[in-house]
Amino acid sequence: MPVVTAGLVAAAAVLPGSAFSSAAFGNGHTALQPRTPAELLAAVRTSSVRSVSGTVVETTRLGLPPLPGADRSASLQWQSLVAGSHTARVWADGPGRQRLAMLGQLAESDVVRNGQDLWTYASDTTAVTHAVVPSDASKAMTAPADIRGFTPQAAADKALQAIDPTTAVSVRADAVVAGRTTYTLRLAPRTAGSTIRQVLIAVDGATSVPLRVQVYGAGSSPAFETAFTDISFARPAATVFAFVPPAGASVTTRSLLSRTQAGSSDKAAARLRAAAEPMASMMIGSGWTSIAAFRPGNSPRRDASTATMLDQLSTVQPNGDRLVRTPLVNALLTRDGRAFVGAVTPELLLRAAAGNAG
Amino acid sequence: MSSAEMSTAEVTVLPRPSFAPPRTQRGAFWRLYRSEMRLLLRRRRNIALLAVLAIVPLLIGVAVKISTPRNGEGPAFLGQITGNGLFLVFTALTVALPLFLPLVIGVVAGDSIAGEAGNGTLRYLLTVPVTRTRLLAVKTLGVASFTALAVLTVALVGLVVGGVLFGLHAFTLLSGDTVSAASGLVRAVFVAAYVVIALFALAAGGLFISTLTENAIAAMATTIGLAVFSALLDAVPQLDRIHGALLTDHWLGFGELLRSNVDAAALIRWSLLHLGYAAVFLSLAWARLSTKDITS
Amino acid sequence: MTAGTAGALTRDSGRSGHPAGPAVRTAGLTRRFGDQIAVDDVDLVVPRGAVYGFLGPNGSGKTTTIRMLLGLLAADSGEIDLLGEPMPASLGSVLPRVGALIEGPAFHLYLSGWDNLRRLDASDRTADPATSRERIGTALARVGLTAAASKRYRQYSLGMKQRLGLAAALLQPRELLVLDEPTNGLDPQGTREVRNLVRELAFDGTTVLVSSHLLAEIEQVATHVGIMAAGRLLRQGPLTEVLADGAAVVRISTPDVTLASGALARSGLTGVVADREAAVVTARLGEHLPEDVLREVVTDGARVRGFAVERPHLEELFVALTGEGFDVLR
Ligand SMILES: Nc1ncnc2c1ncn2[C@@H]1O[C@H](COP(=O)(O)OP(=O)(O)OP(=O)(O)O)[C@@H](O)[C@H]1O
Ligand SMILES: [Mg+2]
Repeated sequence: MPVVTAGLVAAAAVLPGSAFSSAAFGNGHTALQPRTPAELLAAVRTSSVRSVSGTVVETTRLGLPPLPGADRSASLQWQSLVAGSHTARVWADGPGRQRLAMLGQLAESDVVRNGQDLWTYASDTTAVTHAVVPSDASKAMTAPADIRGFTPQAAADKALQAIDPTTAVSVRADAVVAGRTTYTLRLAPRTAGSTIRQVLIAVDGATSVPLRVQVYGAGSSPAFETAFTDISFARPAATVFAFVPPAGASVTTRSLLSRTQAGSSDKAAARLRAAAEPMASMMIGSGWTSIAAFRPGNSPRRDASTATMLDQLSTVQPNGDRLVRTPLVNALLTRDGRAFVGAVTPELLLRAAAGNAG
Repeated sequence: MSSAEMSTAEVTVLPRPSFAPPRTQRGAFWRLYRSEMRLLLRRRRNIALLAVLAIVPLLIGVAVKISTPRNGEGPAFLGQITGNGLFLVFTALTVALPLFLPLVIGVVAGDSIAGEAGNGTLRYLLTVPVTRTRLLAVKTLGVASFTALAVLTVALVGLVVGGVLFGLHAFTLLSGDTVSAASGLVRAVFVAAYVVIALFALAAGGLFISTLTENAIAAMATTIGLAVFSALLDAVPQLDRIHGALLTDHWLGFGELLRSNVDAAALIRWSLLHLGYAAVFLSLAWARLSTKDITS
Repeated sequence: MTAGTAGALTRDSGRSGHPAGPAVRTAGLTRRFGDQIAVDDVDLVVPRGAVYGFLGPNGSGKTTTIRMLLGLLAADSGEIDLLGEPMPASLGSVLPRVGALIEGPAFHLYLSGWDNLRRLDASDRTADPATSRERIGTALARVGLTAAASKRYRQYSLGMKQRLGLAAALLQPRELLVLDEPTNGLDPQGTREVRNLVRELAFDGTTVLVSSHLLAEIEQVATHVGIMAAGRLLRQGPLTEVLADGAAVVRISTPDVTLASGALARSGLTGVVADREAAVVTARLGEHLPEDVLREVVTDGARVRGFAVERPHLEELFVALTGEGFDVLR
């Protein structure tokens, strides 16, 4: 889960989980059999639900000052992910047919995967991008880019992948999410150095689909949360995935194989590229205390308001580096343009920067 | 004096009166409603308010015609108007919703009862008699009709101006999918209906405020203030927990009608919230008006 | 009041379906504003067919009483019967039979006189829309406003506004008219016209409750009066009785002042005053008959030059009851 949270801030690529597979229906509110963590984890990994549709609400409370307009924008720019709440509708019918619609006020951003076609549409700019998914493409390239870590399945998948011996795992059967009775899987670090207190994953009792992921920092309410507010396991209509670009729209075609050549100057394409391409980055450490190190270039500092905000949020270290602290994620921006981000204590970041000079 | 003497005077002085007992006429309520609408529409101020609303789409349409905006600039849908005049309806509503429409509704609703109290006509209406419940009913209906008229003014002028300047074509939804122009029109009708219901909540608030005072200007200002205050609270991120319950929070929720997969449940939920606000305000207005001392 | 009720019953029988009784009756009517009592335990009785002059200094509680009668103000305590039905419980069925002018006229400034009346007529559930034009025309004609019917109310003069208020009260045949200072702002012709109008209406059987400060006017039209002061109803009844009530004075011109005053005192008259220089003796007549008094005086040997029974005007009675003070009491 450090990867999940760090990934949200650093825009590293995360993909939707393997949780979608065939059908197993249940309708909640029935008393659940007790399960061990191992049984529950196994059930999640082997869950055979293929079709899901519903509404996902993602909320981030990092205690940062809210950014104007972030709350109701339909885009997943990093500014709007640092604070505020987002709602999306998701539909999935197997890995080949997926759609995610980020809902904004009078705006919507859609990512549609329909077999070989991967479309994006943003209503505010009416920009369309299109890519053809090669049959041998890796999952990371084919998932609708904006789904990274957004849906409970994706977040849970990432969190579960990160389970290692430093993780304490326990299970309770208590919560109700989106009207369904769930197990709550609790992951907590055994080691010091992480700012994460615990990660709670609500797993549907009947289908073993993760319905909610909550990441707790120091506070009493989750610093990050993504949850279904309603969910259906019925198969979505085929028309949901049949996207035809509007007449007269400018369609930017991009290739998934040669990512670097997507050289359009189109704003949306650039953003999509930025989202899809991990910046030259590396992971330092592992598990709960892993740190993402990268050179952000000029992308997060693109505009003046962002720069001002960074200035306000950060404290300058004796050596001139800037440290941004939040209850969950901390970031260190060095004078020489490197960034170290992780759900770890500032001391670990400083040590990582020192040990990773150059 | 003694009562016996009085009755003597009475019997000797008076001729026999012959009055037919009054009977309630059929359709009396609608006659009063028509009179209320005439009152609203004969007033130059109210016509001026509607004219201001009509100017909003006109101005946007002409501005877009003169200089084509880039996509993503300005209020929602602005860039799409050149391609399809129908978008002017939605842009105009989006522009008018935060300020112009609440202003117009605040003036008319705030004035509805306070205005009559202030110039004394309320006491004459009540002694006609118009029972207080009936008065509130007709005022509510009048204000609701004017609200609908205000929204229709924006929408229809937007449609006509948009249609004339840019034509009506197949309609691109927020989700990027395309539907026919006719289907787009149908959605526009639903959007207008949704906005009317949303604004009716404010109008009901104005009616209630209007029962609290004889000062019409104060009632108008307070009603407009109610909308502004709600919008302010809605903009404070620290209060995000109560945002969903605010009067103005879902006003722009009409966007839901412009998606491929319309969440009808959400639209109904929001409309019920607006109607709930209206019900609370109208109950308060009734409680206040039915016990109010008319001293003006 | 039993006799009064019987009288009314006789008159009403077989004519209208309404219960009999006085047109207006209140019992213990009281209303406070804060800790000030504006109307204090008032028992008002306005017999049917009467023209009731409702008098009192400024701030004595007339308008407050009228507002309670019409259901505009709630009474703190006491009961109201209007046209035999309890108010405000029967407001919906009583008020269509009542025309009212309360504390001056009030209309929409931007509508013409005609349209203002049309507005009021449209709000009357019991008004027949088919006869609306005719009734509005008649009402305007009755108050002499036909020529100004299409003028905006904003442009009306004070008297025209007052006339329009009267016209509104006359839109329908009324059993009761409540007129609070109807002649306020009217020219002499208008005042006269209102007086004639009230007489005419009363002749047709309408009961009129009219409050006014023009006591001479009231004296000319009223059959009954009620006098308020500081929230209390000091006196009410038929005009003649109220004026006569203990207030008539005998005035005897005689050179034999001593003889005359002795005779008056022996007869039981009070307030005997003898003025030797003017050779006049006066005394309160009270319940005595003037002819008996005169006989006593003459029998006692006094030579009488002149004999008169003087009744006070309403104004004198009013001042006697409510005091000379000019300042508003509360
Ligand atoms: N709304 C009110 N609030 C407080 N006091 C009031 C109110 N209306 C009337 N009063 C008081 O009640 C008393 C009676 O007033 P009311 O208007 O009934 O007098 P009035 O007899 O009609 O006087 P006028 O001859 O001047 O019309 C006055 O002292 C007045 O100040
Ligand atoms: Mg008065």
